[in-house]
Amino acid sequence: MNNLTRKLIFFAALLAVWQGLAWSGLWAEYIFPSPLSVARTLMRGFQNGTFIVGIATSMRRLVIGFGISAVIGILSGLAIGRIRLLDETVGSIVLGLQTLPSICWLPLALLWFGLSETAMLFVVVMGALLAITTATEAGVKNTPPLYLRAARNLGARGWKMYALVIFPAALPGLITGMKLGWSFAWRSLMAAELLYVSLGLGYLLMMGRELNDMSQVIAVMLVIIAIGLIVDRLIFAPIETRVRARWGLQG
Amino acid sequence: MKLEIRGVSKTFQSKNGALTALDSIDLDVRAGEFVCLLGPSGCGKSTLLNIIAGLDKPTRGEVRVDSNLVQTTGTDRVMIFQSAALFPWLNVFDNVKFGLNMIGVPKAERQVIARKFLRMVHLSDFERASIHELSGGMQQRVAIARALALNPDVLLMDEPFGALDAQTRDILHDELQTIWTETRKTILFVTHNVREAVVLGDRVVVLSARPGRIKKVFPINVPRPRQIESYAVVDLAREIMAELKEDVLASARDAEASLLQEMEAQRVGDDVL
Repeated sequence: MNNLTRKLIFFAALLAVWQGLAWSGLWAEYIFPSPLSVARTLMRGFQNGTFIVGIATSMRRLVIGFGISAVIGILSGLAIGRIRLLDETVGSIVLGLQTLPSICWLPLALLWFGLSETAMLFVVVMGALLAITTATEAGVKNTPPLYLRAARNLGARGWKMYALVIFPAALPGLITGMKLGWSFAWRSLMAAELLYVSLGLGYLLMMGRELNDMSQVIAVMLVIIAIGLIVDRLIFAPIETRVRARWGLQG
Repeated sequence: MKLEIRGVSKTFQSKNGALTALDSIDLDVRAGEFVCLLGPSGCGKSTLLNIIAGLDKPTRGEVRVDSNLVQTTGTDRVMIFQSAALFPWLNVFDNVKFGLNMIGVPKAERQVIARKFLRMVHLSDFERASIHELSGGMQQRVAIARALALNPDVLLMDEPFGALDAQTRDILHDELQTIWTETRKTILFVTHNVREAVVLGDRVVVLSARPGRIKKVFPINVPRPRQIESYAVVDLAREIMAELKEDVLASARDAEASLLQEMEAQRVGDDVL
């Protein structure tokens, strides 16, 4: 029996137990929906477009917020990793702020930006930015000094040193940071959308709660899990594997 | 004189106080000469190369290349490290072109030059290979091609074959002698392998254990190409070994020598960026 078969049997059994419990009538349908009703809600959500709008809204916020975090995070990580003064000053702030769950920025964001997309983006950026900065900084600091010496020796100076040596040398660590940053951004966004009336997947979760529609809650949760897995497996994992192989870090 | 080393001393600050790596080194190297620096580990021979390369500054003394004071790194002096220090994110071809890109050689020209030197080190078929696919000997050849591509006057080689197996090392000794005869570079070659020094060098400069001082200079008048197992090489090696023996023992007993080696490997000039 191979790995895949074992997995399929496990999930089939899980669904069967779930369906069995739902049929047993121990709990009311609105508290404990059956997998079939969750599946029906999923289908309906996609057919009438509410899930699609939700996914699109959340993904747009996520991509924009993550993009901003990546640009600022990589640049500041490179700078903090190389410049001691920045490391001692800004670096310690970054380290401190990293312990703050990013949803704690929401009250501040609401006061600064009001009930707007900007407030939402701000929370997402604060979620991902620090993780990306820290990982980039660590990647830079862990660069073997030998690469810098060799590059310097071969005439590398200034921006070429950053762009063609320090950045690629830090890339494996940086990709780990991007992956982490993405999952932080995703969590922050969901938290923000739950607390704050707007379209998006978090809002659909809240709607489910308010309408006592447990199957919608579970359906949306499944969508969120699926998106997380897809992004991780289809985007980050292949990039990470390729870079690690290229850098000779595997095996 | 191609290279003038005048009263060069180097002291490192460590947790246990000052650590003197080099003590008043005076050495002249003629253009096109092949000089081997031989000494026990931790005698500061890598520090001397770093100083000549401009990757480190002497505490006292100075180095001149063609009468110009060395103040920073320059592509007229290129270093080849023990671990080839190739960039894993670039393939073989791009590694060889790296220095040319840094000094702004036009793209088309870079390709021609890189191909020429890859041919010289017999790696024309490996242009597209990744670095980690190559053996240690092949990596070191790429490093040599990468250094030669910049057309430096002086090649600084820091135990480049130290990590290779004996057969590969013998082959690379032959190749390096051929390359040197063809290109007439001035080569400063650091090693702790006595026979290697005798096979390669016009002169072998023996350094004492820490602090490194020049102990004795041996001219090597064995006709080239030299073979590592030839009588002339073995006899001279034995003579030099006798000179070196007590220093090797001293260095083996010296815990700070290994600390020094570590510091040498970590040093990057303060002005790297």
